[in-house]
Amino acid sequence: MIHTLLKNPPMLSRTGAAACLALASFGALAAPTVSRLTPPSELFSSGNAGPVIARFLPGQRFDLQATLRPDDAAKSITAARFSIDGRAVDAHVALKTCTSGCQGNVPANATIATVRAVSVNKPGIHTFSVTATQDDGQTVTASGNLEVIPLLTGGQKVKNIIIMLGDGMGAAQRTGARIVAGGYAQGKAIKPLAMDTFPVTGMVKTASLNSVVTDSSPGMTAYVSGNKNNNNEEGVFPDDTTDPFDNPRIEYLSEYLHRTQGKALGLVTTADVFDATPAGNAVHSSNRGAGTGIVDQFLDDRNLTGLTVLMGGGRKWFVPASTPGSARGDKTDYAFSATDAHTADIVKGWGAAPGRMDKDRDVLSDFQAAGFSYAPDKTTLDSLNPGKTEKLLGLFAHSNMNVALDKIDGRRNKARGVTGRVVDDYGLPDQPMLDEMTDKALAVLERQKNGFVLMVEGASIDKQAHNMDTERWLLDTIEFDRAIQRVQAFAAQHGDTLVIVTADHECSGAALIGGSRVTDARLQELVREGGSANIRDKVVGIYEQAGFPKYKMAADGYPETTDIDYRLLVGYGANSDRYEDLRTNDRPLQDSQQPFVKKEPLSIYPATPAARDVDGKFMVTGQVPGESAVHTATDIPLSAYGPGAWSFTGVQDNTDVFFKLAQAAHGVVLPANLFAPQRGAKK
Amino acid sequence: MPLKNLRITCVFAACALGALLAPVCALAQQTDAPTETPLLRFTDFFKLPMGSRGAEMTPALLRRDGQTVRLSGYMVQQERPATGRFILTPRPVRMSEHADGDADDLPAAWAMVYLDASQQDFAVPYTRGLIEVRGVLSVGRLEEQDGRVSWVRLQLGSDATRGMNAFEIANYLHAQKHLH
Repeated sequence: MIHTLLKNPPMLSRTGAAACLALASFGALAAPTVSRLTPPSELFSSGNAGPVIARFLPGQRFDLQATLRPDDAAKSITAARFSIDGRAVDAHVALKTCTSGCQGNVPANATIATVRAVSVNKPGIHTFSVTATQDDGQTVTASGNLEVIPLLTGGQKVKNIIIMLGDGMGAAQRTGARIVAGGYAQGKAIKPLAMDTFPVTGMVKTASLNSVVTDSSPGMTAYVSGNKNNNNEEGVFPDDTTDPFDNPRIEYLSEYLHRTQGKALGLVTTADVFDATPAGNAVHSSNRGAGTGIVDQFLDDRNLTGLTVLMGGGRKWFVPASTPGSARGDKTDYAFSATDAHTADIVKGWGAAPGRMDKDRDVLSDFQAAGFSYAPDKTTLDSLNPGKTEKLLGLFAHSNMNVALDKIDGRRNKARGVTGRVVDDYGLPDQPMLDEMTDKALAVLERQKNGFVLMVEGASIDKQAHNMDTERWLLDTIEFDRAIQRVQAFAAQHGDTLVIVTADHECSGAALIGGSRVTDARLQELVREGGSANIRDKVVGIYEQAGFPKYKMAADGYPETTDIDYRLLVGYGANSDRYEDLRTNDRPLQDSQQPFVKKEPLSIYPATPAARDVDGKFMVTGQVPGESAVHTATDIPLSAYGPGAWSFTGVQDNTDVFFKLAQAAHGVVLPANLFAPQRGAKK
Repeated sequence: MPLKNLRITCVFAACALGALLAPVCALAQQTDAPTETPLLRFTDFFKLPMGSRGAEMTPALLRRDGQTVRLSGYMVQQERPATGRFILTPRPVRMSEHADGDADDLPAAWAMVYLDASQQDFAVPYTRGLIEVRGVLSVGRLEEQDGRVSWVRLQLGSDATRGMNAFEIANYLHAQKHLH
């Protein structure tokens, strides 16, 4: 970073008498340097004015930070100040020395300077700078830029914003769910998905701050902070410390709209609620795995986010460490200092909770004490009267909830586990479906007079795509679309609700490669015969051989069976090595090499991708290392419904979505280039 | 501790080097399991269905604490496996730690299985299908180095890795470093 700074002298200047001595003695490199300047910018990192990386709403809060390195191990940084457009930032600058708590590649005498909770109101591109002083009098200045996106005067102010986030749901996942759930006739979809009926659809570029291939943390936070985060980080910019909760923060949509408009926040997921997507709406951490601190922050910073509904799995983080099964621990928790301004200023500047190393905390009881009604299962959820429920916490599983296929099998009493049903094996036989959770969330949030932001995640579309478990992600996409039906009906009824349906990224490079040319009975025979000559060459129907697979839907809204004759076939472009038999993975085939297959306990579940379907002996060589399919960098679709929907047409960056949502809450405007310019109009 | 009570049976059975190691696996299978070692079931861990506020250990689990038991299950296929230990579950689970972290599909009833202290640098290759392990049961909360909290552990003996000689391990490690 030092050399890049020196390549761009306009962004870096050194002053002071000592600098002359240093230059004379040690050459031009001797001077303190700025190795990181936050918010991130191309101006700082490459010297180019564009693209502008960090963008904010007028008044949206963020932290300024710089990592400052003395030019000698014996020297230190004594002061730092920040300015924006040449005007000093009038706020306390916290200085943290790196004698402890910094990354290994940062020298111990480096200093991290931070100003918390800054905001800029004036729209346009702004230059911000840090100037640091070394103890020998030398100074260094480095600059970056950021942009404030204006909020235009618009029409209707959207009261409620609903983000339907199909984790890992690319175009193939959507199409596959449509074929299975709705069917095709002579090339026409018989019954479209609910998301197909949204009037506006665009494409989203999903790259994160540090990769074209994002993970779920920055994939979510881009939509609700307007900024790029590093992979594995949520609601923060990267820094040089080891503390995952001290990173420079960015104000979320929930926080911004709660602070400025009093809106509430609802988070509904089929994953563990501490997972990246839900946490990426309310929690600021560079470690998406820090579950203890994440669930604590959900509750403790509810006054910042307006958290009112939280539903999903993840009971393990909410019960005290002394309770069997609890996952709470100090290594995944946090506590800000009361005296060290580096973190104490987070509390002062943001009004955030200080946190506490409290693995023995009973967060579940604390949620209840804070007015949250608690539902551990569907029966309790159903029994809650939303008219009398101010806030709602639903924790329906120990970790992730079971997937739709297994939940539905449970409701149908269809045995796929030794003890009966998968949900029984997990000890969680009464889990709600996502649409049921969504209905209750809407009913509770509807009482919010200032409106709400609701994020509903179909989490295991992604998780089962990682597994390349076709039928499970197909059914989870159908489950997700059933939740979309519910929010669409809500939005249609209310007229003041904007709904977007999108993903954070695509997962697995899923491709609908065709349809089976054989019945399921014949497929099973071919699996027994094994090999690609049977399972691939005699089964995979391409082009017109694929026809139109027809699944019969049961009254519960899901296929009666996924093992139909002439089934839909899926391939994976981002796959690891695996064996494939093209059938639903409900139990592992008996393996003659294993001496214990008849022993207790649950011996009939599918193993990992490489392990299941092995009797078919159709080995698909992976294009990625490891054991699972991976996320891809492919653009994903976004569909929008309700006032403000037109904003989402076109190809857009994932961070653009944030500004469009905020604009809708401020007042709906049509996108600038929606219509062709009139002839003769000035450019 | 009798060696026969502390071993993974054919832990290497279905690895990528299966053909190479088949004789080793066959040898391991020929050794009859000691019938006197009690069998612990995953369904014995916690009361089912799960309680609304967390799990509750069963007397069947607690009374075996400190005893040598047998436990059959599936080795979790981890994206980032640790050396010297692996996770055993009642049903096959793959963990995509890179993408999902601890937001996993583990049921509450899982066990951390430790190799002997002298083998803490052993990378146990993923083994497909059911395996049976025998070791000393330890029940109670333990926070691992990576922050994951385990509640049920099984400590294996030094002969648990029978069939994983230096040649096999070297081949496995080579395969890990040079993914094909």
